[in-house]
Amino acid sequence: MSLARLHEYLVLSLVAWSALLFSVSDERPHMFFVALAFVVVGGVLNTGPRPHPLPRYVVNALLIAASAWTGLEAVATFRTDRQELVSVIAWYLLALQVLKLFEPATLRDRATTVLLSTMLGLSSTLVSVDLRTAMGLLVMLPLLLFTRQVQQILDASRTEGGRTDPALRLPRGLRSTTLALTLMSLGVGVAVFILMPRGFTPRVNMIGGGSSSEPQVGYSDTVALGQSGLLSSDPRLVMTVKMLGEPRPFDGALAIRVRGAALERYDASTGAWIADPVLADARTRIKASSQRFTVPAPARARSARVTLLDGPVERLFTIWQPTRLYDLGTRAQWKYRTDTLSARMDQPISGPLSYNIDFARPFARTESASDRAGLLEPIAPFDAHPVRDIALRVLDEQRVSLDDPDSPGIRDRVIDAFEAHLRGYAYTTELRSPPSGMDPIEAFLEEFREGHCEYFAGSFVALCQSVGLPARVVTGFLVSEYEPESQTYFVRQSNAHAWAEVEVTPGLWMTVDTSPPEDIERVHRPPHPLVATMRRTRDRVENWWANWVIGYDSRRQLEALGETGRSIQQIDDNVRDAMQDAARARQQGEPVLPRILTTLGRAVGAAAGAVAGVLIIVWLLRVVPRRRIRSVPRTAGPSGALRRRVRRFDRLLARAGHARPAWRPKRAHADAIALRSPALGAHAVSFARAYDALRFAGRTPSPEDLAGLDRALDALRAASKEAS
Amino acid sequence: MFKRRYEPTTSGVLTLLITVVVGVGAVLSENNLVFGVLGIALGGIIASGALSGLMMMRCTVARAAPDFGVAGQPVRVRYTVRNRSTLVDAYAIKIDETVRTARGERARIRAAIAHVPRRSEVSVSTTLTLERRGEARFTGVRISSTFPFGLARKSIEVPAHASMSVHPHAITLQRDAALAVSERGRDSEHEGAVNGPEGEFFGLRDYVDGDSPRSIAWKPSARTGRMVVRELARAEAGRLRVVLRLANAPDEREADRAATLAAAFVRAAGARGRVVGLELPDSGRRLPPVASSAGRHRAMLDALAIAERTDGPVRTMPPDHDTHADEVVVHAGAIDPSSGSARARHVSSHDLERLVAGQLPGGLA
Repeated sequence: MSLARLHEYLVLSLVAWSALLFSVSDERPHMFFVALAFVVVGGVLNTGPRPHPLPRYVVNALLIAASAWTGLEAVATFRTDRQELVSVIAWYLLALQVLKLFEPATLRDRATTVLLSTMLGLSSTLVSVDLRTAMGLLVMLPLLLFTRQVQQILDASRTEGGRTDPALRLPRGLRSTTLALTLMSLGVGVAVFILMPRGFTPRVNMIGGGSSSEPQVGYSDTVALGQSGLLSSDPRLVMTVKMLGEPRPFDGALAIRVRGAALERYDASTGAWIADPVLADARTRIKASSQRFTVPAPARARSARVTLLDGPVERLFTIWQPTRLYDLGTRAQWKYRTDTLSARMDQPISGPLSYNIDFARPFARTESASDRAGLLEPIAPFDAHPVRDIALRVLDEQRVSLDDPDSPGIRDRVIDAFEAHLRGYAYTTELRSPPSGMDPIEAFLEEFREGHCEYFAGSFVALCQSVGLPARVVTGFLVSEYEPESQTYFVRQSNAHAWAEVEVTPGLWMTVDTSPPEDIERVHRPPHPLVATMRRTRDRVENWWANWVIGYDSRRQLEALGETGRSIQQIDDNVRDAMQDAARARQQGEPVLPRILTTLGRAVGAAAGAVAGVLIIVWLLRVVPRRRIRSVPRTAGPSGALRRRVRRFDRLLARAGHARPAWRPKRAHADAIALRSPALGAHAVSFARAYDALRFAGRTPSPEDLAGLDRALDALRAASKEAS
Repeated sequence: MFKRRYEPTTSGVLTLLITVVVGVGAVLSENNLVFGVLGIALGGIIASGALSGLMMMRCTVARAAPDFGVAGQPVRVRYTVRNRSTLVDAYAIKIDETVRTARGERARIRAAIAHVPRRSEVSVSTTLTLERRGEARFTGVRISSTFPFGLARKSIEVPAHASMSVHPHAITLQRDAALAVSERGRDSEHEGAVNGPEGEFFGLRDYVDGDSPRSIAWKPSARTGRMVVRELARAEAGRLRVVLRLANAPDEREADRAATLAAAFVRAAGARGRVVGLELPDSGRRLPPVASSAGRHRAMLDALAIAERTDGPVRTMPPDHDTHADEVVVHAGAIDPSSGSARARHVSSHDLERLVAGQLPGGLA
């Protein structure tokens, strides 16, 4: 195959691969087939010995159409969704490179196409940080480098008319060169990746802040009854919870509840449970990276490290009753609510994100201290809502009287009554919309009598609030997939769940899950061990990717650099301490300059030592191989003195316009000069004869011999001057 | 001393800009995948620089060009690129050289070699065509490459100075014109002398440019202290002296045409076995018609290549002792009958087309 034809195929492959990479990254894989169809048609029509490019006006019309569409889309998405703006621009790049395939196939056009493919590949990293995107780029890299090299060879061998030589074949060794270049690029890439300073800016979720694949189902901060809500069968890993210290959270606890949001207010117009905006405005703004939740001090506490894998991260998940949240690997600010025990970032940031959390054992019903807490006034909007009538009827059926709302144990009795009532309801994952004009909670309680976890939790909370018992819906995950070796819980989208919390006594909330336990156990049961192993293997790779590539931050950087990283950290700390000492000393009136000079001297000394080390390595790399070559015994050749004189001889002749080609012997060249210029040639011949006599004499030239050569050279110089 | 250069290409500048943008984006977004892409981009740039540096550092080039050429005819020039590296092959080598003549003409020679394996050399031939006579100077060879990614052009300039004589255009005189030059010589009864391998000893004479070194009489040269050559006698067809008058030529073009015509006479006479000589009175140069050899013809064509037009008074030379030789005086522009001997026949550069077409002008009829 000729090199020109191979180049065409390489360009087509590159276009197709970049289209596939971007389509998959942008979660629109079907668009790849559209692009592939164009690539195939372009390749069939416009390559080979007789290409058939589209007429210029057709290409221009398509270009205008693509530009217009991009412009309109860009204007529409510029202010609302910058992530989408990146997608729009990238699709435009894809359209451009596909259009290029239908233009006359000059080498320059093909180079532009390759550039567009490169930029499209780059755009993929801005819309997705998935492992598959990285793998796609890794495959694309050698293809791109190989294509560029072939282009350079074709460009160099172009004739005056701009045509490439059809007889040119792929040079031997180009593949190994490509491999070496790929490895070299990757090596430098990894080094830059590891050493590039991090942590200058908070990881704010700007363009490229992570996966664009926002879950359509699964965990949500609101519960909209009658809609998809938390229902999900997606096994995608959302986070990992690694237990620190003892393997299990508490004795006998096989599952953990990962808290997300606490929703206290019901919007009857939309049928959705939402967070109370008044309380939300009162959230405390803090800057420290470690804060305590004001919950009663637990008898026993556990610690875990939570790693949120799916970005962008907005909600910080906690476990049961969190007491402290710390070691957040970012400088971004976050807020928390001590009453709802929930925390969230000020701004969404790109995942993954890790932090530690201390949590307490959940409050148990047997430990209820609600004897002295009574019922309050019905909470809006349930004070005038059909649910209140249902609640009163249920309590009546369960023989719970509300005549004395302050009677001891009234809250426990109410909770038991509602729990018992809901036990007769069925669990289903089928979504059913309420009849027109009917509230979804009322529809669940009176019409369907079956639903999923949101209905159970939302209805229970509604019943409680309608009789003045403070309660709230909590969204999060119910997790039981645990790997003993790594002491890690794996939290997946399909583990999303909703339950209720009731305030049994002021400040003390109790978890109540009214969903049928056997159904919940079935839904959230860990998969078959084999399936679980396969999933975990995949998850482990993705976890590694998320932690060590996507989540690589300044802390991990110091870890990766090991002793060097600690030294850098030490220098940084020393300088900081010294500056603080200096400030303190200045306040106390002590001399400051010696302290600063000492500290700076240490820092400069350490830096100079590092630079000197690098220079020594470079020197060794340069000098040692050369010395090794010099140590090889030299074969019998002209001595240095003779070589110097030959160089002078050549210079003199070159100046006189009789440069000696490297392949021509000195004597033959001198004879040739003698034919054209006898005066100059006679001296040249004289030198050449004398040189040959000494060169092959088998002895070291004596000073007299060399003086004779010098005299011949002087004469040659005089003759060349005269000739010029 | 080789001159090395490293020039970024447009593609290289663009790549660098994109890399900077990616770097800024990586720092601002803290998106580690973008950091990875930045690293690979930097790695590619560094790898490209290292490879092209290693590749070109150990490459040398040599040129092999003939000593002379003919105006308007291609000359084959051969370049040999040697890769002395033991590590890397050289790819996509472009060879570039500019040739200049004293008359301001410039010609570029371009060639390319796709691959030079390590520790080997590859040659490539190309052609050079110069349209005007004169001395062409090779200024130096430049080899360059944008391999591997076209980010920068690394080049080495090798100052290999050399010169080449470009003889006047080769035109073919029609048979009548050629015979007009040769047949008159046959009428002469004078026995000339020419050096050569055959024949009997005729005499000694001074060495002139173009004489074969084999004809040098070493002992008489040593005795007399000057170079003399041995002449052998044999029958010859007759001698012709071509005189080129370029003084006060109307322009360079006419001077070139006259030189072309003179060269045509020299070639035609030589082809018919006549002993031919050349006189350039304006530059005071004389090559008497004493011998016939390739070297003498070459010397005459070399002289015609560099003969310059002069302004001012017409210069004359002392008459040649050989009064029996035929003489053709070629004038650049109008004929001046006063120049040349009484036997001389005069031709103008204006007659060039007619002579090529076979029409004899008055001077040769």
